[in-house]
Amino acid sequence: MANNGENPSPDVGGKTVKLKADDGEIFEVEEAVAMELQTVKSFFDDDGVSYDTVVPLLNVSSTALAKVIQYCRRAVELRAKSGDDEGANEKAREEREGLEAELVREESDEGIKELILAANYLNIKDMLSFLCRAVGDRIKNKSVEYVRRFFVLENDFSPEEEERTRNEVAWAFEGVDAD
Amino acid sequence: MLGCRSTLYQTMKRKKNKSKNTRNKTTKRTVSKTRNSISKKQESPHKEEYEEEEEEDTELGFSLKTSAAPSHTHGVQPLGNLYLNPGSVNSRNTGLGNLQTLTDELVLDILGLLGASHLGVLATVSKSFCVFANHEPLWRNLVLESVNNGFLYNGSWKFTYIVAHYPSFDVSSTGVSGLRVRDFYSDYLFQSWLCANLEMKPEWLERDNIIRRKGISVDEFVLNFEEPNKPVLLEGCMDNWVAYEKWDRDYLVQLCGDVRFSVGPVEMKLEEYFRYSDQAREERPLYLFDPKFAEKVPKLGLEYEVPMYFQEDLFSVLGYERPDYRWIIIGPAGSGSSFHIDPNSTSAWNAVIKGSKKWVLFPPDLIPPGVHPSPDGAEVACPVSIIEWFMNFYMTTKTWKKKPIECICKAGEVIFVPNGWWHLVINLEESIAITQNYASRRNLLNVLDFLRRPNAHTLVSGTRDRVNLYDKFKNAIETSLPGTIDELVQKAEEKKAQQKKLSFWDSVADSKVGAFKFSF
Repeated sequence: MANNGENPSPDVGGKTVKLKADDGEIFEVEEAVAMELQTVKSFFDDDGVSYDTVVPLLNVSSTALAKVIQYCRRAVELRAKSGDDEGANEKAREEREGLEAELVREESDEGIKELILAANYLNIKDMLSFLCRAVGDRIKNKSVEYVRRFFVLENDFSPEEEERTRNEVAWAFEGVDAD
Repeated sequence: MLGCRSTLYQTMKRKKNKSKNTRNKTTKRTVSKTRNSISKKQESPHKEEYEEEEEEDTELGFSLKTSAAPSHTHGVQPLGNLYLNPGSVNSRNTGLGNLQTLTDELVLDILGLLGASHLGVLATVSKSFCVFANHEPLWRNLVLESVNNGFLYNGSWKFTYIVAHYPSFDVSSTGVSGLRVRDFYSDYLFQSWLCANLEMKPEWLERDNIIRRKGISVDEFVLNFEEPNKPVLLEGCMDNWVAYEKWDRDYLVQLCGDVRFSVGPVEMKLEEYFRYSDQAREERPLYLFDPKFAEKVPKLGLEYEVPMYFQEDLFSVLGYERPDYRWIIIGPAGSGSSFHIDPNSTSAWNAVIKGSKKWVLFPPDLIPPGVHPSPDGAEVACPVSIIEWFMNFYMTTKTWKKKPIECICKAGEVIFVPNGWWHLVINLEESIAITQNYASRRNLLNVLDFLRRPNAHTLVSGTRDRVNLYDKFKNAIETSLPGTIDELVQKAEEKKAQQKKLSFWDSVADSKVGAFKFSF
């Protein structure tokens, strides 16, 4: 089931689709998984585009694409497991949340950002959703300085501006880490 | 085809109440290319012009609402200005750090997942974060999610939130306007402000091509409009209405100011709603749209009558189990509904009691520009607000052969919206209206078809018992009006056969001679 290669070979018998990352690397992916990427789906929804066409994904790196494919593959499997059974649904949902948490935990801040851009370009709603949440989680209840370091930016307020802004939101600072 | 796309664009269910989105995802915005020059440049007749924000008077080529701020609250400028300022740095980017390559929509999506205190803290990180974190729609969502019983609008959504949740905090010391930031360029945020403050342009209101009728008989209406499914504007139907004579804001507040009505996802007091609608400057103002107004305030239900053309109301066979069918609609200038088709394949009438509404209607087979229905029709992706639709898409219809039907419906007038027609409505001033949806024998078969669809449980609207509505309704019709459905089916089949015959013989007739044609 788990396939660690960057170019996993497709299951026997299923239709596959070829996706090309920005560095030219080709990923051959099961059709059902490829269709999770709405951008790819739209590409084929156009009349006259044959499934043999290689889909050029110029804005996605191969590292990001590999992870996206890995996630979508698992997501498709989990969805197949769930059905009318409440219990099976619940279990599948928990597994998917576990998968998302794992993916997020392993990622560096740069990595998360790269994945968000990829998920956005490829139009994968679920993935984008939990990635955005992940970023939010990483900066919640953190001090202002922490957030600045996290996003690598300078404080560009003048002292007066900063004081004024601070005053406006003084109510928000209860429960936040001290600078 | 492939392209950059903001995923979490706002999708709209095919329901009447557009403002029922509890969590408004950041809207996909069609950033108009016209907003790219400052006043000194004149590149093409279509480009709108405006001056740099330093100057007090922002000349936009549009007119702003009289109460609008002269420029974006925080001084946000469109990207075009940046390109004309060589050497200028965009503080949006420097202030976002390695978030800067994300689109504005994504940044707002991330912020949209945070709580109020997190947003507040983020506002002090950098000027860029300050601008983003103060984006009013974020605070609107926070307010609407945290209150069920309504809210007391206080100058801005952010202040409304603070006052409600941190009552001991003294907002008066800070002032509403907030920090002004130089060198912040963002098309998305600028356009968001623009759309909230724009007035309707005169050329959007010029075309009025609907048929108007006064005093026609019910038969004439059915024959000329309901049967052929054509819209019409009917005059003189409300002359006897107490509502037409009496209803205005003061009367309603006096009668039921403290009654809670449906406003988007919340129920709030009428007088509080007016407090909001007086103050708010928004791209998508909240709309009061209540399907239980006559139950809440019976007097309201007694002060109007269903016009004679619409007395046939087949869902009434279901009694109390009928889906929602009548609404009172109250909203400020700029409020309304963007393109949608009414649910359950019903037809509708809309009577303006006070104020005026601009309507744009497209027939069922002609999808309005900028609208993307999903294949099963369950969702209508309407990425733009009403104002933005006018800004970016309205003019394209001028070149179409099949033009939409348009009109301004004024107080005392009733518009008939045939089933299946796309329509968009915008209030040109504060308006009060009543609307009802119905099934008559003319659209009964369509309604039944709709209710019978396999994904009925998502599509069917206005009732909690969606899956069974088809069975219930069909049985109730058979009981109350036996044989009606069969009769209509037969008529429909005859009509189809007729049309087939005619077109066959049309093709047989010799077009050169032209004279002789069979007719049945």
